[in-house]
Amino acid sequence: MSRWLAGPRAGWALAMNDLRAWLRSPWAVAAALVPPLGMGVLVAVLTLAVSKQPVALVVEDRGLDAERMAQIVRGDREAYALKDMSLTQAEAALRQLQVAAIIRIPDGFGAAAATGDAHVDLLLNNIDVDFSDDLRRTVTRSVAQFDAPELGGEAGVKDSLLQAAVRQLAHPETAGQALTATGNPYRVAVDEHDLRFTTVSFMRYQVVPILILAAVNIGLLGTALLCVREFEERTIKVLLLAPVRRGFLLGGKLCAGVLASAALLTLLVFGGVWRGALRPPAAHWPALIALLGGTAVMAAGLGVLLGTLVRRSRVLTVVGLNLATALFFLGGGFTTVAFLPDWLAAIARILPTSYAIDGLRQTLFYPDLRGVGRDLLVLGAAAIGSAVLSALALRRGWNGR
Amino acid sequence: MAAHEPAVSLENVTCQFKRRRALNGLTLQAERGAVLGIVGPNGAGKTTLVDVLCGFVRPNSGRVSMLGLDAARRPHALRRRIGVLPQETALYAEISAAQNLRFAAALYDVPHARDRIAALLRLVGLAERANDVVRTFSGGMQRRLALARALLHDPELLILDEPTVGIDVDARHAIWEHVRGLRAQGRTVLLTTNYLDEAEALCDRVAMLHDGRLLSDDTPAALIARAGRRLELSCAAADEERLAAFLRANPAVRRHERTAAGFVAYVAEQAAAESVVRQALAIVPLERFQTRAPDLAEIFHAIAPDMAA
Repeated sequence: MSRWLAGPRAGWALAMNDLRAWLRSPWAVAAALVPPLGMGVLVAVLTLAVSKQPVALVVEDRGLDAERMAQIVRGDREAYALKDMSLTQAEAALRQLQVAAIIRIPDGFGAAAATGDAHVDLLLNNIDVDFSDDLRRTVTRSVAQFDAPELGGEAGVKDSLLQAAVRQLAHPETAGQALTATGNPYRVAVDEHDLRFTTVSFMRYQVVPILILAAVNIGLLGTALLCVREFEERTIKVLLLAPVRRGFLLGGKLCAGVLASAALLTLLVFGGVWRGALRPPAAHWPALIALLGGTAVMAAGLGVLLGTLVRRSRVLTVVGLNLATALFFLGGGFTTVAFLPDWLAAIARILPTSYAIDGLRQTLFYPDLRGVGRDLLVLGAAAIGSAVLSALALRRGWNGR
Repeated sequence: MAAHEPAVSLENVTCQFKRRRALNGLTLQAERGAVLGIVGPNGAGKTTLVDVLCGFVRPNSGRVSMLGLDAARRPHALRRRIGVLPQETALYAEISAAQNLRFAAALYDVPHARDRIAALLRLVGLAERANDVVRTFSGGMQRRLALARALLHDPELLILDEPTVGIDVDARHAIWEHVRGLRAQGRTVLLTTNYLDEAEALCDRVAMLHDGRLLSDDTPAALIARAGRRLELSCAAADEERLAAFLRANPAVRRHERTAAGFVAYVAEQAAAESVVRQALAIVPLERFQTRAPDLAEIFHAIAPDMAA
């Protein structure tokens, strides 16, 4: 019995040895942790950049209309991080790039509004069209709301169009009555029907690629580095000389990569749950664990394959980083694969990371597990495929010189 | 394995890497319980021979057997019975000496590993440094640790690839002591070396390789005798012709050559060297003379002057 266990014991010893060596190599730990952490910071910065622009609000008119206009502007929190300022302060802040725009409600606004000739001045640092359009749309929405409070959630308006639209989804048979009841002053209203009941914030949506990036970094690059090190420091000879079947050694190598990825992913997932960024439905936890496990095995398998093929850390740095980048971005790291141009989407569909990202998003954010079975199947196939290819690569790598 | 059967046997082994033939019909045997030295210049085929014995390289033709087993057919069974000290030591630098040995013990499924590791660390004088990270070890300490790892599973055959290269004199002599101890235990040791004194100190026989072929297989003493003792002589410039004529005519001198510092003569043995010096002193006043054993290059030159050229 003991002899039968010798192979698995040797594989486990190799995994523990790899983990010990990895933990004592600060550069390897940093290489695995810094990119996902950096990506987290990048996502936070991007989220703030695309959603909350610092904008100065200058209210020069002291009348009731001007105050109401200012309240509408202040109430729209989606695009602005508003600061009340005097005109002089605001202009200085715009020059010093402390604010992206100045919204000015000029003196005489109330009187002009009474004659239908009021203006809200928008002084805009139009850096790029996306950035500028966000601000233009929001100011236009606020101005429209001045005359049609039903369009927004202005205090005192009991039933906005948005609330009516939500009610329509729940009770479509009474939707027409609801919209009529709000008294829409425009002849055309938008009737939105959402595919999903959940609207996920941009920040939460980007947590998934960070998880994948962590798995790819540790699983792929970390395992590949540990494999390359065996060749560069010739410790591969110790493994080759041992009376252990290569399958067990391969298993040990994979196990080390999977354990390291799993440890980091567990930390990230629990951190995400604790901070409220991840809130999977209770029934989705098994699927979530399976997806994360499949991703870790797939990435570690690719890592062993890559490490045994390239065998030199300098080559690995070039090939590995590019591969990890491609797996991350083409896998849907920053976008949804289906919305990419056809040729790019076709490439993305070959990459197992796209299935991992799709599956995780479905599991984490949406009430059903549509498509997760397929994602798990592809990840499992990729994990087995990379393990088989790794075995072949190890065979070639360990036999040759 | 039968008692008369050699521990290592290579028959007509050829290894070709692209256009280069690293081993060229090599036939060689190592007797049980003996220490066989493999020497030769760079590119002679020593490393390839070790790789073939370790199973890293499969020969294109020929037969390799070790401890009575065919190396090509029973590599797995052989690995359990062979211990190897690679030239590069191949230790995991980030972990401790004890952790390196524990890992090797797990790979070889060594019973009572804890006791065995402690005993081997004491044997190689590293018991005090057992928990220190290998990166902090000197070259000599790393070699001793690698030797302990090679001995961990109590192998019958040890292959030591240049075990003392790049280490200081004390560490070198410590390794020699361990090899002598292994020989005394009746283990077969095959070691490659570039140092003739090492071969002389440790080996029962020395196989000299050149271009992947066996040039000579003899005892160290016989090899040295074939090259002769090296005798260096110098005299005043005015006396050089007379000294050259004397060396040419002396039957005890196998060959001689003129150098910038004077003459180098090769004589059969120490006694002959002393006799040559006495005779030379009677003819010309010598400014300086000294004698020493030949080095590998000189032996190589003596055995195969055309190849050395």
